[in-house]
Amino acid sequence: MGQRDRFDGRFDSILFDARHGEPRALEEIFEALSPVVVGYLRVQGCEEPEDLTSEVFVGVLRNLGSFDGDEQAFRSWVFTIAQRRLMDERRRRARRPTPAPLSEVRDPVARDNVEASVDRNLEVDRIRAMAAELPPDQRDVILLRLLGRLTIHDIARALGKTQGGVKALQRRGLHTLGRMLEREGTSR
Amino acid sequence: MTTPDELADALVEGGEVPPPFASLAAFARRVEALGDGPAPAPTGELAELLAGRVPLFPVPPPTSLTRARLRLAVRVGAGVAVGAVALAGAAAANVLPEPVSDAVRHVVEEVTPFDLEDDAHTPHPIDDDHRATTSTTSVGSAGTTTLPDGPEGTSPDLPTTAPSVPGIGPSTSASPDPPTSTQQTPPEQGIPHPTSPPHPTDPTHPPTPTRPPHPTQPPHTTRSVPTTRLHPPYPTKPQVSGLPEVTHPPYPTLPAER
Repeated sequence: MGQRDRFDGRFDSILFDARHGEPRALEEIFEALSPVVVGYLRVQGCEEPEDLTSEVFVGVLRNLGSFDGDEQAFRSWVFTIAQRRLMDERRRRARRPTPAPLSEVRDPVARDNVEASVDRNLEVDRIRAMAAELPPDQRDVILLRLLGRLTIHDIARALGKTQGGVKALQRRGLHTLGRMLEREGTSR
Repeated sequence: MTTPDELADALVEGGEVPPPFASLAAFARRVEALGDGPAPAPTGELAELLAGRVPLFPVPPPTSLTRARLRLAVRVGAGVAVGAVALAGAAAANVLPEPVSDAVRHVVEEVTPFDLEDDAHTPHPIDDDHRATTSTTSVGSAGTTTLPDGPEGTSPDLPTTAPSVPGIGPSTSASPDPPTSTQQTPPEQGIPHPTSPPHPTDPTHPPTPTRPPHPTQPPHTTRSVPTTRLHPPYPTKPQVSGLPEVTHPPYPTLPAER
């Protein structure tokens, strides 16, 4: 999987250039992490995951001067911002009279490749449907762990919980997912 | 692979998991694959940032609060400067109380090249003309051009009239010697002049003041041209009254070498 090192070992130099406003470095940061962020927001049921991803990276790039750390810390920082934007979006959506159901949210990215887009949307729908059955806390932990690849410590900091609480949520979430997968397998 | 935490780590890292959790591991890979898609098209402000059309770190314009602070700082600074000048002028004119005047004089002499003479211990004459001249000559220490110098080795014969007026004597900054029986000057209360080194003086005569006593000084001579010499010539041999004068024989001259 290409999740582990999305900067090809050049994170420090890219971050240095990005802090000096180098457009190419800014673009590399966006290209490296925006697919993960938009996938996370999409599975979380966000209505406009692309727009929200752009908002997340505006916050990231505008605050590059305040960040100090390695790639893992940067990834955790980006997902912390994404999680806060997601919570804001959920609050906004809660005030709306007719929220869009999760199953109707589609991926508009690959319109030029219809087949790939359909497959991706189907996969996103399946995963989102399973994730939607998890309680929100467990869903946040499982998705940040599996998709964001954050550590327990980073997730605890992003969600404002203790590490023990995050571990408990992870245990319960995996247990629930296992039962759902078992049920799904027996039903086929 | 027994604890749930170890299972979770194996699922996240893609490690081997027991067969009962194979479906869960496959699900984890599917979730992880969602992040392998293409980057979405940047929209709005992010597109402008990535294109370099807007600065990444814009410099915020000065707020009205900042401008108000600058104005306040300028006003306070101007007020302090005016107050300091006024205080120094008041100290020079000897209109301040004595402790305040001494403190201001000390500060002025430390931070500026000006030398404020200690007029606080000298009572002013009654007439207004002299008061005016005193205030005008209080700044500067080189108004001694009208004073005749005594012969070399002796103190000048100047302060004969000074003791007649109580409190008027040699400048306290000119001589740190203790007062003798012939000196009627009050104890030194002013700040010693930092540039006037102590030097031997004739104990039978009071030290020569750097400024003439007020009653004997005509008003028109107080604005004389300053000179560079602040003190009369130092005596080469102190004379003590009551002791026989010791004279040294002339030094023998060496014969010229051939």
